[in-house]
Amino acid sequence: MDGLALFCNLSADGPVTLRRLRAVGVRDLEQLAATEATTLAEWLHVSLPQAQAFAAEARKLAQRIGESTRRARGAAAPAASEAPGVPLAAALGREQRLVPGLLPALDATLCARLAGAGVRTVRALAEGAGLALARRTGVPYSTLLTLARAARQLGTARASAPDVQELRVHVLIPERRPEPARVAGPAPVMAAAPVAAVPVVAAHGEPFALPLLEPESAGPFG
Amino acid sequence: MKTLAFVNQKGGCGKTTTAVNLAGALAARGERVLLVDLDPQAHATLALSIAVERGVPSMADVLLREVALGATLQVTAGGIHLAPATLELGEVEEAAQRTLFPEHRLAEALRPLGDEFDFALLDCPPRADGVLAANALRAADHAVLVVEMGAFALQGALKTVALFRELAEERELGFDLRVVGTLFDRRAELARELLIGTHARFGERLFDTVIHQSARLREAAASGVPVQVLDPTCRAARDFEALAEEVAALRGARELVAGLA
Repeated sequence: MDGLALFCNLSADGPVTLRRLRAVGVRDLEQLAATEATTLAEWLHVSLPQAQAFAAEARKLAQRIGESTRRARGAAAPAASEAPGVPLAAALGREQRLVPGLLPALDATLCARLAGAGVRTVRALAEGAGLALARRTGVPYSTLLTLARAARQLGTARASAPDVQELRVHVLIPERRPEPARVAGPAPVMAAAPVAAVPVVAAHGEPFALPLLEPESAGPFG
Repeated sequence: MKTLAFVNQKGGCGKTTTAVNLAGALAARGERVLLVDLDPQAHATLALSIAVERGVPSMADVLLREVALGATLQVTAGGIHLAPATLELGEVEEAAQRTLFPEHRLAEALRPLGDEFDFALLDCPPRADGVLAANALRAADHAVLVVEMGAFALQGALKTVALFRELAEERELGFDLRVVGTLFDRRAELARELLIGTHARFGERLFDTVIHQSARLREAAASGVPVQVLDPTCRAARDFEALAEEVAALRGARELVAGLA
């Protein structure tokens, strides 16, 4: 079960909503959490307030399961590949700002229109393209879809680039953690190593919060 | 044939309900389904309205007297082929002490039926360390741990996983562990927390589909039919339809071996 399926079971009717979201191209909880409420309302055939509540729940759960998974696995800092709900391509896309010429047919006018609607990164474009954005920006819907496809391809290409390992170490470090001790020297990958020793602060005070699970690995069944 | 064993140390967590209704959902998709009742309480047999009369072969005969499994089969509601259980199945544990490799018997009995069925679902007793469960685990491609979304469920599930790990090492078993959540009520905060905890612990091994608590499931068991026969449009039927879709996508033993090669 991925984060998206978990969310659909917790906040919707389960399989039907999950199928619908996957059919429109939602790949994970992070992507859902970043989707605009107006787009969600269209996808799920619900009212705007319902879609806003849905998106807010998705954001809360995305943050929550990151903590929950790390706590359950007893890991002080998860490997990048284990961090739930934060796909690499999305994480990379978050960093990549939209500039003219970055994508085919993306010129200065389009960039300005998209920026006017709050779409400033590759990731935001890949995940936010929809009828609502087309209406707000005046950019034809088909052009938006073409741009979004190109944005996704760019994210995928960057994810498979040789410097991915180095990049994801930085991108996936949770922002709320204390800064790791500075290590002399310029090597950024090595500087990420001390983060592994930073303990995760478990969320306390929540009703029915689960006890800490056993810290050791479950071996082939884990 | 893909073989799935439904297991948990804990009773009342929905093993039989899941096995019976998943069998119904798979059969409704047109799959050829064999349901093997390995619980001496014979709840799967009862849930499909079968009463085994004296002299009629059952799973006890398969495991104690080497009767062919095919000879026990009865076609039930929904088109499921059932290998029924009786109380006599309880004697298998004792007889196993006098037998060599007693846990191999079910796998051998299922082998001739490999081409006749698409799925074999094994409903295990609520005891994961007995010879019946060992038979099921040896025969299974996938062990499905059934976890009720209620108090102590996750702790019980983790104990069962630890036991499976020992069994797998001791007896060189090679099954793939999957987890399914049952009796889920998303209005109950405890159930929601447990689902989040189970997801955190088992991740991708947890099926996307969670079986919701449903009065229809109880009615179906009381009526002796799978829920797809009682009410194919109800929520419980939809849950099992979605679970059947996921199970159908699991890789079978031959595919796993091919994947290793």
